[in-house]
Amino acid sequence: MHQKWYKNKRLTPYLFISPAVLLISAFLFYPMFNIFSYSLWQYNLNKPYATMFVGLNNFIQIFTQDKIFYGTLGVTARWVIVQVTAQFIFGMVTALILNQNFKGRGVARSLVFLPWSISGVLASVLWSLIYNEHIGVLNDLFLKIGLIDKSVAWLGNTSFSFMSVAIADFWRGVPFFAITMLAAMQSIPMELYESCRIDGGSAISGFRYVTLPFLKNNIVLTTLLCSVWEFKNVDLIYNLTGGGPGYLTTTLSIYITNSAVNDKDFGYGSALAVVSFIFLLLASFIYLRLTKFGKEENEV
Amino acid sequence: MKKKAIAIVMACIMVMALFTACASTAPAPKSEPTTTAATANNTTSAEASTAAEPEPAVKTPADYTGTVVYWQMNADPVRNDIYEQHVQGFSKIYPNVKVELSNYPANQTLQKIDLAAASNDMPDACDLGLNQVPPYALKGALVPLDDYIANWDEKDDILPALLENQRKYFLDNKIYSLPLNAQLGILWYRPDLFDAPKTWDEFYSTVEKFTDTAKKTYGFSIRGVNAAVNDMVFMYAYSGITDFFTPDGKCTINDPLHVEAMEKYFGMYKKNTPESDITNSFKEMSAVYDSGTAMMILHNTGSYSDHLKTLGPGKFGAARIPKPINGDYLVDIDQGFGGYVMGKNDNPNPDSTFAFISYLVGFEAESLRCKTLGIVPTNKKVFEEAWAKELPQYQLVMDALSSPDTKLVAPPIYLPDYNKICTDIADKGFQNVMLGNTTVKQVLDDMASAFEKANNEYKAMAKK
Repeated sequence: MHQKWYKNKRLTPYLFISPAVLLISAFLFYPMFNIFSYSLWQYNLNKPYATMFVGLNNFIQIFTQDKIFYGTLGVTARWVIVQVTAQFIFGMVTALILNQNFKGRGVARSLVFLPWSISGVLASVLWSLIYNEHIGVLNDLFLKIGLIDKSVAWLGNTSFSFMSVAIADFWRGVPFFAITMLAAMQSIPMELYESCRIDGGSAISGFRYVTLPFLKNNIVLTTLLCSVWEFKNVDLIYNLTGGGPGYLTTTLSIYITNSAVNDKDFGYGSALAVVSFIFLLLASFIYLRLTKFGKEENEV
Repeated sequence: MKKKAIAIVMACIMVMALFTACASTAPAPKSEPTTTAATANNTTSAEASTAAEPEPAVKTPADYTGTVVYWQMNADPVRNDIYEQHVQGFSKIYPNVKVELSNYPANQTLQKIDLAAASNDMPDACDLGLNQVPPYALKGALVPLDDYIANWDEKDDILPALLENQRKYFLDNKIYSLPLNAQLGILWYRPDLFDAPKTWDEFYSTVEKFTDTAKKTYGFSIRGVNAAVNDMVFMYAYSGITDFFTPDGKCTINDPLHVEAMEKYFGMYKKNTPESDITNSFKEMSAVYDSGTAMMILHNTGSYSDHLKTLGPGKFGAARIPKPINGDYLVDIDQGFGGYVMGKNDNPNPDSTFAFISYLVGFEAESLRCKTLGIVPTNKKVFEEAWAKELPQYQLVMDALSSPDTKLVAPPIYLPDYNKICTDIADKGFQNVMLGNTTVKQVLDDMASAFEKANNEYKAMAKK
């Protein structure tokens, strides 16, 4: 006698995952497929009459004729390295401090996590006011303590524009590392630190031989996630400088935004997005291979 | 044989009917355009249907009939309410015309009109941005309004520059829209401190005189982002050149006088202007003026309420940009926002459609709309109202756009690449000029060559 199909236990797992598969297909795979498809077309909303299949022409143009593209790669690399390094170091230090027992720890933790809860646009407005040449608090403060003798246009000055935007994003990003590191630190058994101390180890040894090995997978994952997020960061840079002055803060993601959204050139913008996707995929793969992510767990 | 004879008779009747229809295209009475004149550019079915019924010599509002489908393409609660009132006002005058109003948000304009144009289902009328009108006219989706305007009693109420200058935007030199509202580049200055500069020498000497970096005050504030119109005003107003392209298709933007103008203009950067100007859009630029940091800025009438709120009466004034160095006239860049257009379709009552869009730019409707939305009228009678007379910048716009001494340059905003050239080449290029990374001549040469290429593409598209 045949079992009714919905009573077939082999089908049950597929039924359970089908809503997720459907949603992911609709909201991730379908748009991705569209991006790949558009990248092979000349598709500019301003020139509907010129829409046509151009094969790999957009990619050839990116790598052989686009004067801006290589510049944006340099800015993007600089941006990702600065952000991930600075956010990781300060996030780790913050987590170590917040992991100690002290009075008001709860309040301190809440305050540290606050920037993470502020939206990108709000953070940009906040920082654009702080950096304002005429009414900004930063100029006022620096003038009062004598660090500068005249107001500086932090976002318009070639020497400071990149670092000014980077600091604003750093402020917003540190809590992510602090939260995840703190959560991981709290899962480390205290006995291990005790053993380390009994063996004559200092606090630094405890950090070197207990904390870091335990946090390894966490560090690899968070730095990878942060790299991806920073690579495609748009909101803060777009709102603070729009990629300027000149192209000094134009990352690849800002360039994609300007091409696809502002210029309405979805074909070329999609090709840039595909290039960006392949870069990220390769970088993530190499990073995970180099750091042997999850290997120890698999070996156990 | 009998059948053949009937067929010949029928054919003769049809040919005669056709001649009769053609004969009805005789000149229309001056008061209103005839339906046939209006449909000269309309579909064949419309011609046939309207030609069959002879029109009365002079139409009264009660003679207008049918339905007008109007798409308002800038929907928001305030505008929707205003247009409802326009429809009601129109219905009182034209009781036999029914207006079907639909409101669409601005971000749906392209999608809706593209679809309508592609499926030959254009609305009878709608409002479009100035950059959108020429491409749809080129596609044959719009009705030229020249015949209607020629027979329109109230055409002289509209600021003449706004109607006539439109021809520059269309390859067939016709008029396709009735202007939505007027706009002009205004030199906002400080009348409490100095008189508005009348010449370029006076302008630069005033800028120099009122710069005091120790006190953090500057003679001027440059717009660094989305600044193409400001840049063009400074170029063309200085040179006196009035055409963007020469008849042989050469772009005039890299004329040596423009290079000279922009070298002087960007020569002010950091010397007589704040350093942050390089990343300033209009809001920031306006704030620099309103805070008393900069003595002058170039912006349109839109920032009036900010100046009034922050600087207060008497401390800000509106002036025209100086005359060209070699000319005794004034040049400005056309900054109109768009207009009311008639879609090409088979509506048998195009006269009623024109009656509606001409009502929209008439005194009653425009007064309500401009007063409520704070936009500059196009109808001279509206400028005479008490509320408009209280606004000095409005009078400035009216005087300027009524004067034969004002020449308007029509930037090719209809080119598909216009915005890309303005942001990617002009904005970024001039930012690099301010940073000392490139020269004004290089940027203007790049702009000229990009505009020429885009214009050639546009013309090629028109021929297809």
